[in-house]
Amino acid sequence: MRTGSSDRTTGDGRTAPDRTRPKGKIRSTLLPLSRALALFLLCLFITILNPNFLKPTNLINILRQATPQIIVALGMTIVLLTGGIDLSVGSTMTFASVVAGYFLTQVSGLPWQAAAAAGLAAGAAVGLMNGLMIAKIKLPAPIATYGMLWIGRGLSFALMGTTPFYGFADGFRKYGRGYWLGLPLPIWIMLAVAALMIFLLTWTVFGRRVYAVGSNADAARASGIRSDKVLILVYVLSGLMAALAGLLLTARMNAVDQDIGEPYLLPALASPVMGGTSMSGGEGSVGGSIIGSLLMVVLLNGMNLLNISSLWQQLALGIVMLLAVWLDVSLKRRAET
Amino acid sequence: MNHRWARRSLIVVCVVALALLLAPASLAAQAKAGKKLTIALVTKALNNPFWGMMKDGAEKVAAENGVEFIYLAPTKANNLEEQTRLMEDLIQRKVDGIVLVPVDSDGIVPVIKRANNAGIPVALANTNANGGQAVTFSAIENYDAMIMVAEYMAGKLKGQGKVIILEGTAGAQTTTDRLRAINDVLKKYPGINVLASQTADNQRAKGLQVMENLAQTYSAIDAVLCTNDEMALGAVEALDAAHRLGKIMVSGFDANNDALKAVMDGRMVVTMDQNPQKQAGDAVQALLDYINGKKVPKRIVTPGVVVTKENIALYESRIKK
Repeated sequence: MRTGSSDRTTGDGRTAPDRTRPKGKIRSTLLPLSRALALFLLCLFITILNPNFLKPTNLINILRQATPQIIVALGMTIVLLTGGIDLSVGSTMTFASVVAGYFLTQVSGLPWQAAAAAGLAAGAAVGLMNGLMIAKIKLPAPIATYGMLWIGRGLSFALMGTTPFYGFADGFRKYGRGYWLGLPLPIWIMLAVAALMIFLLTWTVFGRRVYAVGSNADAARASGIRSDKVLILVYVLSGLMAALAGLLLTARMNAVDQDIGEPYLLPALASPVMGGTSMSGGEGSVGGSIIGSLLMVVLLNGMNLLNISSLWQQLALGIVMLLAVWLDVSLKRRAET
Repeated sequence: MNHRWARRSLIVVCVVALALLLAPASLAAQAKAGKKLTIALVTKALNNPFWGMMKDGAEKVAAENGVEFIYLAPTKANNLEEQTRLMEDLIQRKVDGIVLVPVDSDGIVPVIKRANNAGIPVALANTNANGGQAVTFSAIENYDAMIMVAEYMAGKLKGQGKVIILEGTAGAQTTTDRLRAINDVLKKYPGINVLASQTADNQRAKGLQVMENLAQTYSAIDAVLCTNDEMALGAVEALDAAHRLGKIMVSGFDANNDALKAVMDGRMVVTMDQNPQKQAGDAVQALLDYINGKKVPKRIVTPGVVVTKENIALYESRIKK
């Protein structure tokens, strides 16, 4: 039952390799649980020190703060699954927000929906450029997307300069601060994006091709998969998700500044890896990336609640990240031998 | 034959003598009139509009004096390593003078010394450095200015209440001075209780996030004192979204355009106009005076103005709509 072709995926989106694995079942159930356990232990630790952590309002607060990071990280996850990397996500967040902010504040008479659409289109366009450079011109993904990082920054400065756009239409701001059924709108959007990603990766032909291209590009090509098409679509998705994350953050802050996206690049890369996504492709899951993101945001929230000084905050963040990946790697090795 | 040789050598000697006599004079003339001077301004970041205002002020004075002007700032906000590199590039380019706003008062000292060794005069603006030779230091007195803001807040609180402090980038002299001022004022009011003092790195997004988190722990907050406007505006958004802004007073520092609007709309209580245009402009002027051999004061104090609802009308032109 656990054997099969390389493009078959298990429930959590992990591939089942060709060889028979007697302990495969243990591995596939234990690993996601171990990550959830790490998150649970962290939450327990903070709660003991400050019970305010467990207040429903704080838990909602954490989820809302994690929303942009989770959305970018999910875009990054799908890129990592193909064996690629997208270093332009932070700058794409900024660029898309600046484009939306420009149409929201500098062009009069335009509905906010059009401005938001322009922002998303800008993100998709950046992704398309990345995809074309990587799939067609065959540039290495780190270089192509690093180049786009600077192009996105340059365009953002050209469009906005150093004075932030601020004061947006209420219809737009609602998506940063509004509620629906007791939960903030950004959380609903994040959940919808996550559900869509799980569906895409687990139930569609495209999803199976993403894993196939990532686990063995040559085999995928031999079996007739047009890997260039898959790659282009993957980078467009990543650009689109970065744009969406940027717009949600912009709506929340009611302002765009040049620094809005850049701090998200490394967390967006670290979250999937902390959640068990392989940087060499073919292995990873949506749930893992969400837990990876939550680990970081929960830790920062906890340190604010405990009034820990900023110097120690960075140190703690580094240690927890390394511990999470170490736990993951050592459990994986134990399950495989 | 002999006669011709003597005449020739006389001409050569005359030409050489003339050249030797004229050379220093002509070089000096070239420096004064022929070749345009080049002055650079290096700030802490590109993203904060405050540095944009400093650039405007410096650019204006440079243009008035017919001086070439270069503006540089780290692409990663408040990054010492990148600022050091920018300074090294300027030293390589042999610019005629640099107005510098150090990211880190200690960390920047080595590269100021390198500029000194290369004979390039450096004027400091806004933030001081703890070493090296500077022509002048042009800035508001951060400590005194924040004393005014903090006293205003203490007055608004009537000496009673629970406050949160949002600190700027750790290690920067402006953060240290402003924070010391806040703490010195609050010490005089035993009725004011500091709930938490956390950093938000001078950034709006961090101000938003840290305030969201702190608002979870503290159900009763009377005021939030921030060491710059960007963090204050982030805190305002966090409190507004939680419907608590009406009960909590927020103070900033810098008088950025959207902070002025927030003061006008009653979303922020007070900010400090530290006239960045004048800070940078005075530094450029001092640098030019120094190059032209005039005497320059070691410290130029820019007067700061407390901006509240009472005098916000003075800033109307900078607030949109």
